[in-house]
Amino acid sequence: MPEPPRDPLPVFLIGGFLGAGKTTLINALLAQADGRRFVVFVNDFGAINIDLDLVETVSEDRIALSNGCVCCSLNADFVASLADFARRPDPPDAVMIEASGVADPRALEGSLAALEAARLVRLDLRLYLLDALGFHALAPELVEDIVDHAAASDLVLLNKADLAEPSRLEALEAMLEEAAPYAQCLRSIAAEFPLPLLLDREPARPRRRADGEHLHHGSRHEAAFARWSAVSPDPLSRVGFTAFARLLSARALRAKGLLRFADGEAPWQVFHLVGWRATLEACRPPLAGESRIVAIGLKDRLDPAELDEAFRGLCGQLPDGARTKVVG
Amino acid sequence: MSATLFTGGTIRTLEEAAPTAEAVGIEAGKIAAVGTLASVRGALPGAVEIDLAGATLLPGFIDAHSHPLWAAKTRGAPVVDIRAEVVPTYKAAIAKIRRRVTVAKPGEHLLFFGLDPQLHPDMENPSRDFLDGLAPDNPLGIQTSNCHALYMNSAGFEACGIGPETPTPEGSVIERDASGRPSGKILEAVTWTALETFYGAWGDQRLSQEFEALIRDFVRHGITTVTEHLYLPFYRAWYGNALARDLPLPRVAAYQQATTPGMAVERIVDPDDRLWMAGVKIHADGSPFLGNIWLTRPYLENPMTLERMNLKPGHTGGPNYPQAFFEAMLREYFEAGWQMSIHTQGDRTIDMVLDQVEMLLGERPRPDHRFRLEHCALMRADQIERARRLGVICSFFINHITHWGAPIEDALFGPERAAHYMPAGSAVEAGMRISLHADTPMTDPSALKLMQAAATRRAGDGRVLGAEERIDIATALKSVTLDAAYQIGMEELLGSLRPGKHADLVVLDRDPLATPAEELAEIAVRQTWLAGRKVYHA
Repeated sequence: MPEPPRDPLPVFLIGGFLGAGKTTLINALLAQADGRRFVVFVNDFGAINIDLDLVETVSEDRIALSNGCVCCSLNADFVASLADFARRPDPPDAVMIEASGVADPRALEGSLAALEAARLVRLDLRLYLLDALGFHALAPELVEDIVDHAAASDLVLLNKADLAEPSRLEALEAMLEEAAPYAQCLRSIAAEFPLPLLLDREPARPRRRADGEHLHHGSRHEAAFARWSAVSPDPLSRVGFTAFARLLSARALRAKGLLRFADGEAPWQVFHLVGWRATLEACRPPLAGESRIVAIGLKDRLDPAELDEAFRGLCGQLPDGARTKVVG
Repeated sequence: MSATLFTGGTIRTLEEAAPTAEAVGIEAGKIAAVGTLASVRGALPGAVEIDLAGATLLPGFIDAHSHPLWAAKTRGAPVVDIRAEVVPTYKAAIAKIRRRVTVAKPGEHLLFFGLDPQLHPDMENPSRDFLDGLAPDNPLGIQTSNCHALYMNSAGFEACGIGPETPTPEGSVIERDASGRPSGKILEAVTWTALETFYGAWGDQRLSQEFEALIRDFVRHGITTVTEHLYLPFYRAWYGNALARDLPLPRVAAYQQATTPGMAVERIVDPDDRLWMAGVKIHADGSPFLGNIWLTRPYLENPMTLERMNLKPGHTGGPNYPQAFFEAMLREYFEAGWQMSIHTQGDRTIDMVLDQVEMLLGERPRPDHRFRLEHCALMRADQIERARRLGVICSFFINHITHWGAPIEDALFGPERAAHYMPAGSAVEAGMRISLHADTPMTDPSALKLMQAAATRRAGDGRVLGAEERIDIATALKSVTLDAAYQIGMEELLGSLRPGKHADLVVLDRDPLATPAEELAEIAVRQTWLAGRKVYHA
């Protein structure tokens, strides 16, 4: 039997207007790589705060660090370099792409489409940073650009939330709830965000309890997250799962599952959810023979008890055979 | 002008006799020689040689159905983009409109583009009264993404001069309340007339800038010939102005819009073939996304069709014009010798048009009429055969599949009709020379995206609509070059690399014929040449 295809390389898009905190976030990511090897594409090398002791090699468009991370410049060849990283025998753990301040992050998504189609990469999370302190003072046209970009993301970090006036912050949140209905918002200080948390995507070994207690140690922001996981020896109802996935997309930032469905055709499927984008693809049965699913989300959105109950309802239902369509 | 020679890459001529060449030479705006490097060098001694460095040279792309000037009006600033890909829900769109109104100058005309009954999941039909509450003091209009409908507030109706006494023009719809007062929504040609009020209020400077941006967008995508499929008489000045300013205006095949019999069709001929009147366009029906198309079998019934689109159960729509009125128009312009280009989406509309073509040809045979059907969403297999027999040719709006594939299958027409929606494969199979189009402003210009859409029929959500209607990449390439040239009556001058044809070229970083269909849209345009001049390079 041929080797199963390996997981596509996860790609994180990091957008945000000038001064929103993208570079701060990327610097922090490199500092907390903690053994993971990240590749970071940035517009401006100069702004990245690289510890000189870590630098291994430097070229015109690439700086390799001794901890295994690599910084690349986001130039015209970036799609080709990204494909090279994805094809390596020992690919990096994740790629972060900093979308330039004024550019529309959706244009970058377009560039990634072919690599996604070739299953080399998977767009994992579209993160958008927004300067909650300065937002109210921006010109109306800039506000609209920022709102449009935020609406096209999965998670919006309201950065400098500690400095913003509470009433303004609340007004901003209310506005985004309407304007960016598919994005989730999280208040943030100094662009702190434990992105590596979102890299734990192996459903076979859920490491955390589902009650939302700390997932890692060391950052106060990690308490903002909750993780939920479940195991089922029974096959799942496909139609029921569609409704469940819809619920999950409203509650979680990302989820992955290896699932067995009750209908006959390709019973084992791998499920991926990022933001509102969900996919199901046929896969080989896992050794354990059980369906497993894990999700991570913001603590105030993801209620493990709710998901437990909804998921239990799916298990052991009779096969329904129907395709999941609005009208068939 | 000195001669230029291209070599060192893949050169696809689109000429059957010699589909590839080692070199192409151009001189004085025309293709001068095609063949081996030695023969082209021999024909053009002293030519400046350009090394393609492995890139691919093709004839420039032709978009057989577009609206460049109208696109600049319709989507250029200060029109606010509320298409679902930018503003995901109706609620978010209304919030954006509200924010825009709060910073509007008194009396400023406000226009929003892209309300979408299929892609805005919570779509409602905003009433005039609702919009009055939103914007009491500014003329405000919201155009649907399919371009065929407009919602306005009272100030908008007033500015456009549409009141209770205004008669509804033949071929259009003005929705009214019980007293006859327009209630907010208008459809078809009256929409486009009303919008001119907004464009006019913003002045020529704005349009000039936006038109230039549109022109550059076409050439950046390697498109060297477009059509203006809703040509109105005063448009000519804008093209003349663009040429006078030396902008890289692609060649324009104009199709003048007819809404009644008896309209004077401008005769435009240009010795350099930059602008000409190619024919007459009539809308026989409307948009599948609004429901104003004519079908033999009804729409599906579900919340999208019944609530968001506001259709009645069993809806089969109708044609835009009463049949006799349409026939009078068709007869007049067809018999005057114009190429006809008829917007048809529903299969019953296509029956009506083919019946009339057959009748007219029966009365007076006309060889090589190249009667065009535009878009052809729900054309049936028997109609393709009939069209081929009558010499009628189809231009397919294939981007419907990529942009609206999921709702087309799930909510509008069901899997069986979706599998043959925009039946390009069947048409090619029947031996028809087809073209593909983006219908800009409805979707963005890119011939490579059209090719990918036709070769994959993959919708935005990943599903494939009707694998048997896919066409191979070589045919897709012909449909945006040589066969598109045929459809606009210019195959002797455009669409392939042959000595004597215009030197319109595109250089791509990959050869489309050696690229997987799923990656065609990612091919980069390196250079565009128009009339022998480089007008774009990456």
